[in-house]
Amino acid sequence: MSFAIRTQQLTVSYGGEPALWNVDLEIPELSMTGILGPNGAGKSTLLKAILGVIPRLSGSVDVAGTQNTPVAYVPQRTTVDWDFPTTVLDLVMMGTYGRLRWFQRPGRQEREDAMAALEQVRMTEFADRQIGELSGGQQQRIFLARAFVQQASIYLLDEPFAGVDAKTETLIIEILRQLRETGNTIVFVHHDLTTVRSYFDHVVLLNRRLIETGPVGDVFTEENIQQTYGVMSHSLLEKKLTDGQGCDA
Amino acid sequence: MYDTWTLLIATVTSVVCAICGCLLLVNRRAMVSEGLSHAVLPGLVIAFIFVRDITSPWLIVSAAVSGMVMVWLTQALQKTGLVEPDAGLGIVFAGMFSVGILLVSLELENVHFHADCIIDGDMTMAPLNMLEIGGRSFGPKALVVMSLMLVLTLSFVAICWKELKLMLFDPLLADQFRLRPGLIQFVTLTLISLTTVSAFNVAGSILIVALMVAPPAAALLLTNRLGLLLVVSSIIAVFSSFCGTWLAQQIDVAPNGPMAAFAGFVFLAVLLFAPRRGLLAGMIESRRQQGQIRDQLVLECITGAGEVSEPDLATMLRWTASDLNRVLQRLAQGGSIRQESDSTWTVSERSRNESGH
Repeated sequence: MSFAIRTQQLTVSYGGEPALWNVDLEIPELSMTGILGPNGAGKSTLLKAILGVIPRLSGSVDVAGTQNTPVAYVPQRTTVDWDFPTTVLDLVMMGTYGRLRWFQRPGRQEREDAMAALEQVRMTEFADRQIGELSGGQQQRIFLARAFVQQASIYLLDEPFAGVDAKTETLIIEILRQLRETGNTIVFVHHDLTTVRSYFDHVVLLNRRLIETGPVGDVFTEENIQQTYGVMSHSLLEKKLTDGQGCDA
Repeated sequence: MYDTWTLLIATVTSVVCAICGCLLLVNRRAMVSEGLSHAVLPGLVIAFIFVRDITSPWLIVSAAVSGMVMVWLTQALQKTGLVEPDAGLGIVFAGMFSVGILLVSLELENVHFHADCIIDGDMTMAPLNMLEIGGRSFGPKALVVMSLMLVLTLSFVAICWKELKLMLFDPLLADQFRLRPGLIQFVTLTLISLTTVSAFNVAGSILIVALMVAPPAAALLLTNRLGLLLVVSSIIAVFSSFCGTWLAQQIDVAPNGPMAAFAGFVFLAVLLFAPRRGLLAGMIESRRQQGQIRDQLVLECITGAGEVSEPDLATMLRWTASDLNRVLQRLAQGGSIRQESDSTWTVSERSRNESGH
């Protein structure tokens, strides 16, 4: 199986304790991969290291693909200022800046691409709105549209469902599934453990060090979850209790 | 001619300040203008001590460097995470300004370099200092310098529009696209720093802050696009300069104070009367919504009861009779309820049919 992203001995430190420690992993091509771990586990750092926008202390990152920008990144919604004076269409068009030369302005083609991407996330009628007037779910959708116009083959998303209602979550996951069907690799940071099995076919369990990575059926086990989060999940706790009772009897 | 020069200097200075102010404001760094306008002082004084010539271009260079040092120190202090960003800025610029003042009092007692002039600037004197090269006059020096800054700033904004916008909004994406956000930010801050220094002689530190903050802040309430923000702030800046210099002539004072006053006045007017985001528009919208909610409440009460008397309804809602009557009349006019007897109301056929669907 060929990989979309491979890291070897990847270590990242922001000056203190390493945020990522010696991480070796392969994310298979055309997979829907979840990055799971507690707060401060280095999930966002891993995405940024893959993008190459933060310095590495050691190790390497290989990204498959031949395009100019093979990776499109959807940051956490809260990383930008939504009061910035710009419109929805403008924000989506920013995704095309990567393929333009220095000082070149986006033209008709870029505009059409942005409108098509808005269509994909069903936000066309909001094109001329100021970005601050949108709800959290709508903001997430236009961020997704901005990633689409980058014409990448790998999509990295940082908590796309944070602060988003159930209806939008369903819409976004549908869009991501379609995106994968059309030959792309999807990787995203996720927090809700109850939906892991239905959303992903591949997971990365991370807590500064790599705990385990592989197909969701093999890797997403009670023991691994406990090791990752440092606490027992509900069902594991139940199992332990039942086992304990068995011993007493 | 003298008045025309003053007006031109005022207009060009305020437009270039407004454009720089927009770039700071959308980055939520409006107070950097306050810092810059003070932190350039030690640079000015130190250069003056060496060259002993108030017109030397070295003064501008040294002062601009001084401004950059302020920005850099503030960012360094912010990065430690030990000081709030605002507090860091306050500490650095106040410290640098005090060093400047100290140098002025210690070294330059007998020189034309008064603290008053530093804080207020002196626009009335500016037109008297003409730039002459080879016997030919090129107009007041201040006008030439400020026009040069305007051309530089506008060219930068026009040429690097896309790079600038992405750096301001999402530096991480700019970095990913290799659009050098760090470099763009450096150039931006250098231009703002240079503008501040150039405007220093003419406008003084307080007017610079007024010109960099008030027009952009007002424009931000009127528009939702970066390009329009620059245009609208420039228009407000021109307006404040015209009104300011006119008023100054009428009451025979330096234009600086009136210009700052007009910039503030325009901001206040916009804050109150901006069509969508102004305070008044907000109040009207909120009243309209309150009215709608009241209508809805009454309609639901009557629908639920089938038929209800006005006093009962008032007790139910805990409203005064006159408040209730106003809503009832409005609903009756709209045709959604009708009066059965003197004070008994019921839902009209039409709205019964509508709610039936």
